[in-house]
Amino acid sequence: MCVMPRRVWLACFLMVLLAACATGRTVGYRSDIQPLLKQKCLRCHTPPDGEGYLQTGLDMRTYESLMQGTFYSEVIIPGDSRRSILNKLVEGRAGKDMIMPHNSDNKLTDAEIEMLRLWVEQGAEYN
Amino acid sequence: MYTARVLPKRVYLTTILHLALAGLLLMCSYSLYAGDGNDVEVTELGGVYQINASVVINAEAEYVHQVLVDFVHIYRLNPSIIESEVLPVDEPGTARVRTRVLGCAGYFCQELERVEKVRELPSGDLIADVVPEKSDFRSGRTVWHIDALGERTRIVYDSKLEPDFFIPPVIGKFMAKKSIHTEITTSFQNLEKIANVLAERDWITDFTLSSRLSATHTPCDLATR
Repeated sequence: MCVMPRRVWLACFLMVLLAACATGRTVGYRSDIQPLLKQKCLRCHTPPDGEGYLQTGLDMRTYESLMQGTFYSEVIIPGDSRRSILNKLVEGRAGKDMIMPHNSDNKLTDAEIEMLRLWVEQGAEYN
Repeated sequence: MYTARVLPKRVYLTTILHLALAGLLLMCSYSLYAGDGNDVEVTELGGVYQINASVVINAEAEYVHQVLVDFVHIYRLNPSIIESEVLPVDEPGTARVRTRVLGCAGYFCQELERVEKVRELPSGDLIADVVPEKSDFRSGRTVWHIDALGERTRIVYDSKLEPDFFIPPVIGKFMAKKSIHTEITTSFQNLEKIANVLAERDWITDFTLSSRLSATHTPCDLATR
């Protein structure tokens, strides 16, 4: 049997530890995402007469309604922010006219956009 | 020291046979059918990929056309369209659309940029020509032919694309064809869904309007309008 020297074990352990630290913090739906959506999105995405809700059917009041998506499709693909419509729209990847929120007073900051991206990448869980 | 374990020749042969069979099944599974008798075929010759599809979808032609020319919402057609933008036009009667598609062949993913000039012929066919200098493609043309079949629509889709990037021969090309087939099928499924949502919303609007009219006018009023 091949025995690895203690120094190699220690190096491996440190690398795993560093990799774990590099992934950053976990973004929580209840602690981070829900308050953000409430502040920036709910004005339009609330039934029965929010403009965004009327146009697309997207109700952002609860986790379940958010994951249900629009009349057309889901807006979140857990683990895949590049393909998720929510991320495409807030990041401006669907054209300047489509950036969400439409209201310029309510724009998301870069940190908020990144937080949404991380949450989706981490599986978009109800955590 | 490690010593290699030697497997009997029979085990090797069986494993190779299993792998070959699995490969064959995989190759057969992607070609030809998207389901319900619809044909989607992807072929490659000399580095040019040709996609031919003839698909009947359960949505009215009017709404199918509406979805196809709604370039602002083109990202709804397929999650793999990770970026999209309607660019300023340089010719009247045309539209210029930029898309960035996440193309994956197995575990390898690549983002592909494409700018297309789209125009509609008097026949109603849509033609999209790739603008090579702004795309990851040397050339490309896609034609959408839409035929109304009552409440259903037949779409004949013909596309030729010549990638301007390296695709490894054999396995790479096979994976690329498989990936294109999957994405095209997904796009047709979403097209059907979106067209039906639009039809339903139109119906609800008409119904609401007619309900309002009948609530504010007597039948005599309506008869004289």
